[in-house]
Amino acid sequence: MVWFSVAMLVVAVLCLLVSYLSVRRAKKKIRETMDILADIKQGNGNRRVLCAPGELTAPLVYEINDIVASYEKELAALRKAEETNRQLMTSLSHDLRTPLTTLIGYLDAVHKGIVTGQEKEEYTETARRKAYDLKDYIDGLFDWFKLNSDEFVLNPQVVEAAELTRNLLIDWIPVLEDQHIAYDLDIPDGPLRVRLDTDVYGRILNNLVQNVVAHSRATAICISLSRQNREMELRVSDNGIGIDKQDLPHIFERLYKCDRGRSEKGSGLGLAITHQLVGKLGGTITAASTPGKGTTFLVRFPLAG
Amino acid sequence: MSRYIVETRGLTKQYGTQKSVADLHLHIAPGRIYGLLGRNGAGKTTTMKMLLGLTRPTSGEVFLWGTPLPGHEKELLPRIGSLIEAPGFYPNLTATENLRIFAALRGVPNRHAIRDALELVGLPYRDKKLFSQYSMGMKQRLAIALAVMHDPELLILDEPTNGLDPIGIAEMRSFIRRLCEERGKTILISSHILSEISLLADDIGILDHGVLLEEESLAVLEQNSRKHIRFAVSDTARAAAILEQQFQETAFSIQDDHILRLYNLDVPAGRMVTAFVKNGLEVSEVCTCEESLEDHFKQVTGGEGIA
Repeated sequence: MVWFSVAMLVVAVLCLLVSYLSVRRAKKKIRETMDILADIKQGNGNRRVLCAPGELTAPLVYEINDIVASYEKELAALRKAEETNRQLMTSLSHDLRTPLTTLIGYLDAVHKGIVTGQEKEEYTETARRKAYDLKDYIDGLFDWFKLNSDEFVLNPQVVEAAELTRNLLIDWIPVLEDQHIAYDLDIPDGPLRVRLDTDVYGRILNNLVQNVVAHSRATAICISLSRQNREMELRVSDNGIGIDKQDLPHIFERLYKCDRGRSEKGSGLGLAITHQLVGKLGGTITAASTPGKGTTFLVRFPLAG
Repeated sequence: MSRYIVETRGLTKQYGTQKSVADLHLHIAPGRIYGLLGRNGAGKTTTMKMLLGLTRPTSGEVFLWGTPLPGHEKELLPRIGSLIEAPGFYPNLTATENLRIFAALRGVPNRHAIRDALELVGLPYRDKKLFSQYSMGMKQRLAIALAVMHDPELLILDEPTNGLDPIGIAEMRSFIRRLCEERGKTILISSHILSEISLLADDIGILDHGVLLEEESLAVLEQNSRKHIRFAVSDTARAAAILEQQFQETAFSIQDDHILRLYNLDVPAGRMVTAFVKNGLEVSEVCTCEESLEDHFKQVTGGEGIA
């Protein structure tokens, strides 16, 4: 009987000790968690409360982490939008400074009478041209940021691409003849039904041809449209100066210019915008080039139906 | 809160008479990828070990989130994920079993942390393969899974691309970038490969023979290392018009009212200066800066380039 009582007492003491220890542990865990939550409250959304899977407080802690992580995700998206805006501001102040200052240089020279007569006329004309280039550049910049901010709305519909392409190219023929660029246009008669936004498709094609005219120094251009398996393939190739191997992977990046000394015109936005537009229409664009021999741009869109 | 996630003041580690790391002042800002660049034996691993309290510094201090590390290991270290040399995994257990042990020991932020971590590095969850049967690349991936499993705020990765194939290296790079950009992690990464660091890092610290030779943002390093001629003139607008009209040069950028950079080195710079002066401009400085990032690295380390 005495033995039994002693045993009971030992068990009771043990129980008390165990519960005391577990309460102490839980209290410590709660204290730690509170400290971490204070840090999160201060704005550190990357902080997590850690807990071993079997622990008493685990479900609670995991729930807190989930909530913090989901808010952090939303904040990250906001920060990204903010970053795009910041980039726009930097671009405006940085990339516009050089062309604008140069433009002022010409006008100053005219204004102060440093140049006169024929030269003065030339300076004024250069300044005027530069002002237009600057306007084009700003238009391009806003297009680019609009595309990136998802404000851009598409109007896709199933259209017949061969006819559409032919109509777009008609406008280019006088330009190509004026620039002494021989052209070879290979557009099939057969119907190529593709889901496109016609305005956007027009801008893609125009940008690619414009790129050849403005930068490639080509004497010949070849534009063809064809059916490849279940895709439509638009091919724009030239026999111009080509693109260096080291530049090729970067040509679709914003503000990337192959050789800053090569052309005075060009914002470094045209191909970046083209790349974005093709992507918005669900297509792909690739470029291949041999320096000195020419460049080929390939645009592919899935055929409709 | 401190401006820096990691800051060291005069951190020094001496083995015998040799200083492995000498008087290091490191500054790692939140949300950035910091590349610690140095050749083999420059002191990169020793530095990282001291940041994690694995090696006791001979002198100097380590601050993490503005708190001194000694005495606060228990609250600071769980906020870090690290990969230094090879972690001790049990060879006779699978990847998932190994991670389970660490999850029970260290705690995890949610129920599916192990599966998420394995998915992130491209290893199968609950696979039957034992750790001992893993290839070098898979072991490295598992080590990285362990480093990110508890969703830490700061990652310290010592040459994480070791043992990975070229595709694995590219994957690792985009994975590290994503962690930083999408989830705002701060990352310290070491490498002896300049090209790797320049593709990844926002800030670079160049370590040589235990001494931090330079600490600078990549943007600044790149801008300074682009080949150009720098003109300091009294009126950049006028100078720009002269360059275009008289020299047909258009490859320049204007920094402010007085500094113009010309990105073409094959130009008659002397005649340009004469033309500037003739047009009533004051030229206070002309200098040629032709040094690539690699040249710069060679120059600061005072040695040969490294592969």
